[in-house]
Amino acid sequence: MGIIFSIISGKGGVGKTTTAANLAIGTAMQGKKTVVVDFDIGQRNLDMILGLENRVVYDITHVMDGDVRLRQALIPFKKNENLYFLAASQTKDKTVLNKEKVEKVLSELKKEFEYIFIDAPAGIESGFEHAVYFADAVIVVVNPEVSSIRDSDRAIGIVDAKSKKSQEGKRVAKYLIINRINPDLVQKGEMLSSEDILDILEIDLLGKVPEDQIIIEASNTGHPVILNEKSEAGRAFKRISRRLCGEEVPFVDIESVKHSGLLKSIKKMFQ
Amino acid sequence: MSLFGSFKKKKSAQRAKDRLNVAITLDRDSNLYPYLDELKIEIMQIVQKYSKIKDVRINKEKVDDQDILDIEIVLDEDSKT
Repeated sequence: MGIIFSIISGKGGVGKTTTAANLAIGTAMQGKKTVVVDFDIGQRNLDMILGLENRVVYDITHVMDGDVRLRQALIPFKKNENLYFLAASQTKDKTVLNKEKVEKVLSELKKEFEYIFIDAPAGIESGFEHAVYFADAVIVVVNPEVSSIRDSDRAIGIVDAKSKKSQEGKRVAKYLIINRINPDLVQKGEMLSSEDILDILEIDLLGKVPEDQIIIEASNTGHPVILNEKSEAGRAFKRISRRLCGEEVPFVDIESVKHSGLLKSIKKMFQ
Repeated sequence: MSLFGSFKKKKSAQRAKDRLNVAITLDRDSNLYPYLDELKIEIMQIVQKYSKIKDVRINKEKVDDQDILDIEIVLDEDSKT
């Protein structure tokens, strides 16, 4: 039986889809049978990030409505044979989701795959509840920035109130990924450090991802950063994926500025 | 920035942290009982079976670690006679 991870955030645009894509590729690279599902009905994006936009014939609503079988809608990720992708509908809206249909698709996926990643719609939009209702664990993506952090706290509150596990009195595991950390700004005291953010949100850290220009290039080309050895963000996603596969990977201090030449360290003393 | 300048004003990250702590504490408090409005309506419906009422007021309080919902039912004076 597979584990369902829902990737959520408070507000949009914090890198949720990028995170879902990279973590799914990451666990697939670790040899796990993985599927990543776009639950952002009406705002399909994951297909672009994965470079699979031309391969989508059927989407999740076709499967839920019984038009096609799950197998027909699953799109193989060419760059790794362990990974499959299930697209969101672009034409329908979020109201097409209902609990029974969602449960049916997810339970089928659980039989076939070890890791199921759900790319949830942002915040408390409709559709969000469906994306977290059946989750075994929730991964919260934040940026080190006030509105993202505040909104994510509300989203976490909804997970606690609305998920199936919570309603059955069980605990839903919640993990935090801090994305787009700018080490220079953290050092200057002009950006919240990961320690500050963990203090405020009071949930467990899963990983820290630095800001990385290669991410833009990656989404331009549909070739996710985790496949790029040169990308710092890619390496960070790889570490997180290994953690998800049960490996103990120490947290790398990405917040200290590394390129401290002599001049820079002297300058720093006077800052 | 000079050596002394950095001591003068709080760095913005610290201000962000202070502001977030306050905002999130308030958010969490106000989301504690999402059912308050419904509760109020249902209480009114029940009490109205027995007596005329003017209002139902529900106050959230916190005494030490104990969360308290203080429900005040204001009866309509005319109903007494």
